[in-house]
Order: sequence, then structure tokens, then C-alpha cells
Amino acid sequence: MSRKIALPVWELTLVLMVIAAGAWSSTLSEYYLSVDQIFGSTRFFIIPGLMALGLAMVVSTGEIDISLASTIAVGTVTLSKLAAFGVPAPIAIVVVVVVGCLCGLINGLLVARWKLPSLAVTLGTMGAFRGFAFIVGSEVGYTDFSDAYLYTGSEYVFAGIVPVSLFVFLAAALVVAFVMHRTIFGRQCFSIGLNADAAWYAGVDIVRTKILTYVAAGALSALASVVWIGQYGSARGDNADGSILFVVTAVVLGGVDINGGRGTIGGVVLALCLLGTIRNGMGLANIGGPSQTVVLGALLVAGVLRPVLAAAVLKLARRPRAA
Amino acid sequence: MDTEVGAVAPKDDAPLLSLRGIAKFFGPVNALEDVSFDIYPGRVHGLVGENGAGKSTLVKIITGLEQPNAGTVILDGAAVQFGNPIEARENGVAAVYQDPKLFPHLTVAENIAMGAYPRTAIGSVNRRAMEDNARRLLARLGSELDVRALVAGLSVAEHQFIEIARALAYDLKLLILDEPTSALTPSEAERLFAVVRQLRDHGTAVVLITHRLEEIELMSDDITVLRDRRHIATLPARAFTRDKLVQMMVGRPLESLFTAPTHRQIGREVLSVSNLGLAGVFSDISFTLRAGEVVGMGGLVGAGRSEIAKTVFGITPPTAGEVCLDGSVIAPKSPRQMLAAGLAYLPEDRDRDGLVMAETITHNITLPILKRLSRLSVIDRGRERTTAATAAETYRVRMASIEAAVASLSGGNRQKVAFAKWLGTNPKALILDEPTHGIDIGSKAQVHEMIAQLADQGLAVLVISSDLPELLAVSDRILVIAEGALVAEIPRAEASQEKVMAAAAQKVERKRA
Repeated sequence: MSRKIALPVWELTLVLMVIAAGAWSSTLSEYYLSVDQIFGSTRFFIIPGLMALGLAMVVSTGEIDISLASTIAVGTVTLSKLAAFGVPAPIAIVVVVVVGCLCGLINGLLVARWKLPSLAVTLGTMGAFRGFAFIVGSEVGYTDFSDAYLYTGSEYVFAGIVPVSLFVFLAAALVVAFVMHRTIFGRQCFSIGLNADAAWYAGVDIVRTKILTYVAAGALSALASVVWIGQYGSARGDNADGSILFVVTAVVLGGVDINGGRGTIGGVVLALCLLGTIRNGMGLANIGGPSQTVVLGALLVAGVLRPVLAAAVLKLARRPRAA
Repeated sequence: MDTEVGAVAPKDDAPLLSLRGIAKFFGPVNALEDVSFDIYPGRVHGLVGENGAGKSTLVKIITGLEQPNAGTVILDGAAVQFGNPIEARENGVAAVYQDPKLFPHLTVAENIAMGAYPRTAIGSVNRRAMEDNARRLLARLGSELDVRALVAGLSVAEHQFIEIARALAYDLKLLILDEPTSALTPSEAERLFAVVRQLRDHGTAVVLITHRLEEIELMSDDITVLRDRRHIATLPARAFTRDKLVQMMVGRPLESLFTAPTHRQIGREVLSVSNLGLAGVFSDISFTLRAGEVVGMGGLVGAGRSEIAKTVFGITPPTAGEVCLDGSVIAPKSPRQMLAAGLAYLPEDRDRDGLVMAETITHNITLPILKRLSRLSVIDRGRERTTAATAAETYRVRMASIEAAVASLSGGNRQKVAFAKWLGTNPKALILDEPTHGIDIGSKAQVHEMIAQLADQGLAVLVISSDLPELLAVSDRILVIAEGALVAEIPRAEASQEKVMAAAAQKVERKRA
């Protein structure tokens, strides 16, 4: 009952917040409200956005994956090696997605099969994957990519206004939204997040489902590494280091319950728009990186607090009736 | 009700604790109705009743874990209402449970002092004082436990001693022991009882709750019987015989409410369990269920009935034996596999294991059958809704909307959703674990009717119940489990409450003698 009413309310709130953030940004620069500026600003959240889609799947089951930023580094370094060997870009992209799946599989097996706490596991693999990327990659960073490698992350279409990567993100978002809200798999993910015992009693294969969410998150992060190469043109072990804060914030602010069981992919996409707009605006307003991080952290805490606050408000509203 | 409150024998002292008209309800469910009796200092007061009779609720009310909806608790002549067990303890009232909740990674002394550490001048914990104190309290119990040992490595009996020592730290007036011996060896139980006698001789009142009637007979000076959440009698122990006690505990007028089973067409064997065992829990369990048959499974709480059901359903895979379902032998590994084979299990803890409380009725009903409602793993939401709506109507779920969260329903209606959910899987055999636990009388009758209908439709049904009249009313045959073993199989014609109870307690006595 509460679910059917509460979530659209939150999504509408997000829409209003995106508009408000956009209005604030437009006061900072007269160039803000141009079409190419707006489409261009979407580049800010496509890489964390792909990661957030994957993370939302993992979080829906009540688990967490903070190793995704390191998976990107593994992905970019892998791409640099493939480029150095002259592997055609389409094949390289397929290979790197498979590598991302393997990273996810490692996390999934540790968390689901061996029932280890996901925060500890992915903290460990966060370090391990990044270390691996540093060892395999070169110190200086590989920049010798061909145009075909860069295309996905750097090209614009429709009169050079809309980034190709935006289509990649939108396609991924549609697929993930469909999987999570229309298929058996998605329903089972949410049921595990709400009550793993009851799901297991009802015949849900918890181990398999959880592993698949981690594999999907790894694959989406690998896809993000392809976009990364296009945007920055450089592959190094420290790629995307520290970006997990933005990703977790987007998922939580999007209304996905950090304990699992609730949330919509639509909400996550809206939260990404909001965070992207805020970050873009903060850039226009010349707010420095450290201050931006403070704002992100505060938004993350606010996102986690949201259900608590909602419950407190509900309790207050109920009290007179109960007494 | 044939209440005999007035029959209390005269005592020398004024009562230590008096309960007057205690009532408690959880939503529409009554947990206790109008309970009044007195507890005297220096006497052991046995409190008996079947599962669900209200004993635990009463203990919770006395120790401040729950607040009564009506009535008063009078301690030493003054009405009291403790806000929590700590407050009760400070006023000399403490309860010890079968499995005390201690801090395993702290020492014995730290656990005993918990919440009231002695301080040194600079405010740090005064270890020496704390340990001396713990040693002194344990000595009063005749225990020489090492106060510096970690609790993690100790036995359940030692945990209980620690818990009692904690209670002694205050001026202990009333000690409540809730099923204290169920996890103890006979010699440990003997030591515990020695302590109880010693406390009693020093003027402490002791309330003893136990399923073992011989312990009640051995220890009690007074006995109170609760049944159906009501007070039945409080009498001096010598006024009871074993037979009278059992009769007071089980004989209830409710039986007339239960539908007598019609003579059914009992068909082929659907489920057969042979030599099933789970190391350390139960062993050598063999029984069969036939199509159109309702088999009851009785026994005391903790006898291993739910564990057997969970093993058959693949939740805890067996360490021995096999299950044969509809002609094919299966080694149960997961509920998924057993559901696919045609078995459904309605868990005892419906709210925790049986349903996803925060989810809608629709999503709960369709969770085990999503595959049937989807094409290429995409859920057909129209079919899902109609399937759920039909099922909810069949099982007469009273609800605001099919999209309402299950948590918003009453216990009885939740149980109907659970029925709809598990029967939607079209099982050949069905295990119902305490199907009427915590639901009101009206829904209870409906559940019994449902069980009868299911059997008439040819389903093989196993009903686990601690409610003896219910077991007798619905079953064609009753299996009795005691301490992880199948001790009796009683055909319906020969079954009586006394007989089932005797079988359930019989093995326990034999082992402990």
C-alpha cells in the first residue's frame, strides 16, 4: 500500500529538484540554458550512471558493491592492452565486458556462495582490482587509442549535440529497468532484499540471483570503462578512483533502500540527472572539488535518512489517533 | 469457566506478588484474559499450561517486558508496573529463560555486573571489586565458576547460574524460571533445583514454568494452571494428581467448535519418509502420507517436529535417510527443488518465513509460481493479478485491496494469504506447521475447514500442531515426536488428548530417570 503511493511521490520530488537545480544553474551562467550545454552536461553522469544501474541491482537484494570503480580501472587497462595488440575495437569491447563479468563473478561467489559480508568483500576486491590494474597498466598511462576505441565515449551525433554515450546509457537504463520491474529475476531480487528467508522458502535461488546481480554490475562497469576511454583518452590504474561516492549517492537518493527490497530504476536515473545538474552547476559557480565532495556526502546521508524521516513523520501523524 | 481462584489454601504470610485481573491483547488476539492469583514468599509456584496458554506473556508482564491492557501487579502490597526488566530486577523480580541472553565475549564477572559496573576513584571499571562481587554471588549458588572465564565457552546450565547470580545482586524476592531445564542434562537440572530449594528456604518466591510435569510435582508447593489464555486454578500441589493436572491443562470446551472429519477416501501413498535424520536434532524418522489423508504430528515444543518438516522440505538437508515423493526418491536440497517435486510447506513463523510482509498480497501469492505466470521470464502482470485475485477470493482473504501490503492484514487473513500462496503451487503433499498459531477462533475454524477440504480433494496433508484438541479434530492419524524420535503412531479411533500427551512426555521421563 505504502509502496504504491510513496515511490511515485519521491520520483516526482526528484523531478522538481532537477528543475530547481537547473534553474539555479541557469542563474550562474547565461550559456547554461543552451541545448548543447544541457546534452553536454549529461557526460558528467554517464560513467557513474552505468555503475549506478549495476549497483542498484546489487542493492535491491540487500547487498552492496563498492568495488565498481576499481572494475572500471581493470576495464580501461584491459582496453589499453587490447589496443596495443591491435585488436579491433568491437571485439575489444566484448572482451572487456567479459572481464567485467568475471570481476562481478568473483564478488558474487564470495558474497552469495560463501555468504561473506558484501561490504568487506567488495572493500577487499576494490583494493585488489585496483592493484591489479596498476600492475597490468603502465605508470604513465596509455593514450594511443584509435578513433574506433574512442568513438563510444567521445562522439556526438545529431548535429554534434547529443553524445553517443548518452544512448548507451539510456539503452542500458531501459534494459535494467525492464529486467528489474518486469521479469521474474527482478521480482526475485526485490523479494530477497525484503525477506531472504521467505524468498528461499518460496523457491527462489538466492545464490544464483545474487551472483547474477554482481555479474551485471561488473558488466555495466566494464561498459563504463569503454566510455571512460572515449571521454579521457587515457588508461591508467587510478582511473575512476573515488567515484564510488557519487554512484552510491545516486542509488540511495534515487530511492533504492540501502537495506534492499525497494526502489525503482527510474528513481536512480532521476537522481543521476539531479546529481549531474548539481555538479555541473557547482562547476559553473566555481565551487571547488573538496566542497563538491562535501555536498555529495551530505546528499548521500540525506538519501539514507529519507526513509527514517518519512517514518518519523508518519509516526507523528499517527500518534493522535492511537492515543 | 470453571475458575477456582478462591480455593487457595491458607498461608502464613501475606502474598509477595498478587496478580489481579491481568489482561493483554495484541491487536484483535487475546493473549491473556482476567488472570488473578497470588505468589507467596518461600514457596515454589509451578505455572503450567499448554503452548499458547499465556505463560510467557504473563512472565513478560510481571518483568515489565510487556504492559498489561488491564489489571494490576501488586508486589509487597503496592501496585507496580515495571517499564523494563532492569527496573523489575532492581525491585527484586527477575526471570531466567531456557537460553539466557548473555554477552558471549565478556567474562563471567562482566556479565554478572552488566549495567552496574563498580567504579574506581578515577571512573574506570573497578575489576577487583567486580570480580569479588561475582565470586561472592556465585558462591551463594554453590558455584565455583571462574569469574574471569569468557561466557562463550560455558554450558547452558552455567549461563543460567550467571543469570541467577545477576538477579541475586539485588535483593531477590521473586525468581521466575521459564523452561529452565529443557536444555540441561539431568545432573545439571538437579543442581539447578538444589539452588532453587536453597533460595526458597531463604524466603525467595520462585515461579517455575516447565513442560515436564514430574518437575512440577517434584518442586512445586503451589500450582497454577492456565488454559486458553485464562486462569483455570491455583491450588496447593498436594491437591493435584498427574491426571487431574493434565485434564485441567488440555480439556477445553472448544472442541465442539471443531468440525469432525468426514470419512474420507484414502488413496495411494504420496509422501514417504524413511529413516530420515539430521545429526544432533532427530534421527530415524519414518512415516508415510497418503492422498486424501490428514496426518497430525504432535509433541512438546523443541521435540523436533518443525525441524523434521524443514528437512523434508529441503530447508535443512538431511544427514541420513531419504524422501520419496509421488513415486520418485529425492534427496531434499532446497525448497525450490521440493516445490518443483510437488511438496509445499507452510512455515511455523508465518510472518518471518512464510510471507514477505512489506510486499503486496499479489506479489506474495505469486512469488513461488512466477514461472507459470510469465513468458520468456517476463511476468504477465494481467495474469498475475487475476490469478492472485482468484486465489484470495477462494481462500476468503478479507482485505482492502489485492495491492495492500500483507503487513496490513490480521493474523488470520495473513494465514489465508499463506495458504493461497502455497496451494497455488498445486502441491501433491502439504505440510502445515502450526497453521492456527496466533489467529483468532473464527479464522481457526475456517482453517480447519480448509484442511478438511484439501484432503477431500486428494491432497496428502501433514499438520504439525501443539494444540491438542486441534490435532485430534483434524487428523486421521497422529504421529507423536519426543526428543527427535517418533515415539508413537495413534490411529484416530484410539486417540485422546491424554494419550498423545502421555506419549509426548513418556520418552522424556524414561531418558531422565
